[in-house]
Amino acid sequence: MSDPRPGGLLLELRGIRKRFGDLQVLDDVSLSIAPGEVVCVIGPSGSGKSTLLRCVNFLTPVDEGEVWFEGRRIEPPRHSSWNPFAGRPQVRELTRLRARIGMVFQHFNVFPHLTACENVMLGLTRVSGLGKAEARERARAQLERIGLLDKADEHPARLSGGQKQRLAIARALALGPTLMLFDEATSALDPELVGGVLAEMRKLAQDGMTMLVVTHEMQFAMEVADRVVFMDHGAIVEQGTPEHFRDPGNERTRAFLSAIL
Amino acid sequence: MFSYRLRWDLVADNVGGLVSGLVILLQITALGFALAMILGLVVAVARTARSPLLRGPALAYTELMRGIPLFLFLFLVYYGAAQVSPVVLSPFVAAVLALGLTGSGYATEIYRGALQAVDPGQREAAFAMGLTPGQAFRDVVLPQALRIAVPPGMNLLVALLKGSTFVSVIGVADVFYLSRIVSQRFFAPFEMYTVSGLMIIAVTLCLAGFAVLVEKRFARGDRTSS
Repeated sequence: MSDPRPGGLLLELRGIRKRFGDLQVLDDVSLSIAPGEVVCVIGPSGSGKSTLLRCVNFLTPVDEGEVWFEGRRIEPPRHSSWNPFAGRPQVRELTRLRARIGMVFQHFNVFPHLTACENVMLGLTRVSGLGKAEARERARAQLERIGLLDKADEHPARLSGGQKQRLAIARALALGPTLMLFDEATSALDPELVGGVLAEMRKLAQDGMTMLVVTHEMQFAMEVADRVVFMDHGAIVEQGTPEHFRDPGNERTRAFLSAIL
Repeated sequence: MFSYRLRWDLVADNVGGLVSGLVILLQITALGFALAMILGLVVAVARTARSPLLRGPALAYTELMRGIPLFLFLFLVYYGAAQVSPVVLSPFVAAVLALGLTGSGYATEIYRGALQAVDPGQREAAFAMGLTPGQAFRDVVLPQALRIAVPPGMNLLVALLKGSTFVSVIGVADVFYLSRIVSQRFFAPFEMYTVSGLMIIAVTLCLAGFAVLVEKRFARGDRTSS
């Protein structure tokens, strides 16, 4: 806890371990990200990539290890199985932190009972504390940015998968996050809809957003990432620039890449 | 040969009483249903809580309320409460309480199922954007759960309406109370009970139609897929 502030890093994961029952999903994983950096995590299914991403904002609480964000250690909520009020201060702190980290999910998770505009407004009114009118204005600006302004009053059921995912991106961006997490954001999309979402992500990277991206889109990783991380069996096997991954040193990395390319 | 002249004139003479009896039943049903749905939500939240200190009592309450026969519970609330406490309830209030409390056991299960049917990804998305657990529940999970709870909730309403026809046993002056009095005095049970039953069926049909309207209204925003 008395660790010095990690110099210049936006996010630092130190020695993260996570186990689900008998399965060691993450085994001593450390990873740091500098502001503005785009890091793509690749690896076979079940390698722990998504779990690692979910550990960043404690959607999956880590068993061991530290998560540092903007120079502060994030304390996991200490839930007690008996006292329903245990862990309140950590939850409050965690809530504040999560507002600064945007997350985009594989299955979009847009709110089906709200219109597109209301999806974006919810965080603005509840988290940022804006009034309805201002929130609506900002939400509409976000929708316009991603080309969904004409769908502002539609419910998600009336949107395509690609539109839902772009809406999810807009919803996250509206809160002005300093880090964006993408958890296989295009895996659930029909092939013809992948391009639009990737384009949105590329635009975001060009605008200087710090991004941690779990993806199967190797081409996207090669073009957009500053750094590529290859994970297997809950550990980081190899990391480096996209150029490095054109001729990776590790045997497992080579096997994985030749299998998917 | 069977020969008996049905006394429909008795029904005609008592139309006013039958209607006001029906209105009382509807009031008891509506208030009982409201009580059941409010209590049920509170208990369901406790039932799905992490802490066994909340879950345990909630489970016990639910099983008790679902297990106890309404008929018996009516007596217990009306006569029993007056016997062991200084509280003397009117038959009307006792009927609402008995109906609402037994109904709340079922309402709890309806809500619990509905809350669990909401995609966990919805809560995660709410958490990920920085909503507090309370906000995530109120703004994201609950509105979706309520949509899911509408059809079984309407079933419960119909069940409570039928259950409410027991309340004459504690002296609520409902349609059946009047039917009993009239049929005993003139020995004409067929006419009064038939008409009373038809009145209940008519209301049930209206409720079913109303349920369809409510479901349509709530289905506007898609409720399952995200």
